[in-house]
Amino acid sequence: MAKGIEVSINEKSFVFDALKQGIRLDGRKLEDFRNVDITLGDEYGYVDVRLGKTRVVARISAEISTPFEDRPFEGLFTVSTEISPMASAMFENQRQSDDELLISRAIEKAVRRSGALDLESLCIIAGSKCWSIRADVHFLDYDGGFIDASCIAVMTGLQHFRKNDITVSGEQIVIHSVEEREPVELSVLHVPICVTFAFFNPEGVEENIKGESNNEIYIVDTTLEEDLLKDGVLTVAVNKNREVCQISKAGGLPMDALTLMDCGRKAYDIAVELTNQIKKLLEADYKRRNEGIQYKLRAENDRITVE
Amino acid sequence: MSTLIIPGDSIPINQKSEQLIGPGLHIDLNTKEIIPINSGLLQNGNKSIHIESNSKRYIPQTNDYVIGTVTGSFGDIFRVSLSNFSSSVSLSAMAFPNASKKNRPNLKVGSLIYARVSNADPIVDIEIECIDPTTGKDGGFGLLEDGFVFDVNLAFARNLLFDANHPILKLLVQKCKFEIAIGLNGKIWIKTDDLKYTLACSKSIQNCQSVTSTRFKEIINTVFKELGL
Repeated sequence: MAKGIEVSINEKSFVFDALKQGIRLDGRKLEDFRNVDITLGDEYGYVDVRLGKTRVVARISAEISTPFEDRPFEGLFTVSTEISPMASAMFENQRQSDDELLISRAIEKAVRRSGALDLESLCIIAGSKCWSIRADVHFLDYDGGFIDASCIAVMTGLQHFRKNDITVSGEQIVIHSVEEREPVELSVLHVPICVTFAFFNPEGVEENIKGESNNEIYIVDTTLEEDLLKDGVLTVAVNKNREVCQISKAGGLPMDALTLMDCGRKAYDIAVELTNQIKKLLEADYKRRNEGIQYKLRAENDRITVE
Repeated sequence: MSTLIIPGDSIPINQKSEQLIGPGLHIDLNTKEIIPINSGLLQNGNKSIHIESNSKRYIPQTNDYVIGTVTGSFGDIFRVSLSNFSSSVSLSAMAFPNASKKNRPNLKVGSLIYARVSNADPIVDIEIECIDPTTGKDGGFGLLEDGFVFDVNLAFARNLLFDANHPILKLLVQKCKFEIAIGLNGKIWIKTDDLKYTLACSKSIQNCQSVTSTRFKEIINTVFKELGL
């Protein structure tokens, strides 16, 4: 039983010919990122990201738990990325394929290991109580770019999320409800953005030391169709301070050092653009939440002056 | 004449006339009653009656024209995939015009072929063939070289194949000359002289599948303009 996506020779040569002429099937330029459509939910920490047909939902939640014994001053942060066949029939239930593993690892590396979330700020009582933040990423539809989309979703979610305010008196913790006290935001230190590049080798000649037949083409943010035909892939996570958080290139076509530099620079431009988009969106959301009758009726207004 | 039918409706059928029962309808063998099993538009012709509806997964039926991708060859049989994530069908190396043990068709893995479903019995392997059974010649079937293949929804493909005067093809012909093969498995293969025209044609057809025919011209014009044609 053939279970998978079969790509014909015709499609392959057509895509390669088009790329050589600088045309992509969806009409984008080679270095264009798809339009990112981010929607914030009514609840804090719910983010819906659409990248073309790809759709990813991230949900941030927090609970109080005990820190690891070897790290008593740090809170916990877990990212759960389980891809179900809902996204595409190419993902199987209960079984993680290599692709899935790569996606999970890339998100883990870009978001968690780059220290985007300040774990020390999650500590409540050293060694016994801390916040445990959990990011659940749900993959709803797949048309390439899962790493990029889920990175955007998790980072936007972390910035949007508010955890309940707490008061500590000795060993006692009081958790205040949202109605009682304004919830507090997480301390996000920087916003890494993943940009995935795919490499194509239309000549079919591989060279470790780049020479004559160095005609590889690289494109940004592949769709599923391009994804199936790629010869190599590179993911760069970079933030707007020009800090590269991860570079991952698992096998595939060998590439030139200059190309790598070039990709880094392109990734930076895209990251800046996306960071600004996220920032604007969060500001708009903040404004929306803090205007109107609810805002005016708040008790705080008695103490501060509002013009 | 077409009316909207949903499962459970009674079919307005003339019991005396002899009509062929098509897709979407089921005959209860005990009561001899005709029951709709799909929702869609009832197409009541002189000789046949069926329900026209769109579906997601392609299920091969005898005499369907399909486009498939060769996924492997075992002895005298090629395995061909008609749609993603479903079982492949078999294509005998003898099911080609002038084929013999010595004169074997040369199909590589990944080749595209246009074929007819010759046997769609659910119990045995589904078979397709690249031969016109009435003449023994190729009849337009066989290997599809170059060009581009893309997916459309099943109802649209059916519409396009059976309606020789479909407005999309009429409009596209005014733009460029092309070769087209329409598979009922929702795949369309198209080939023109130039890559940009091929892409423009495929985009036009894809964009037209979900709109009414009045907007075809406008969509085709915008697609061609975007590609600078």
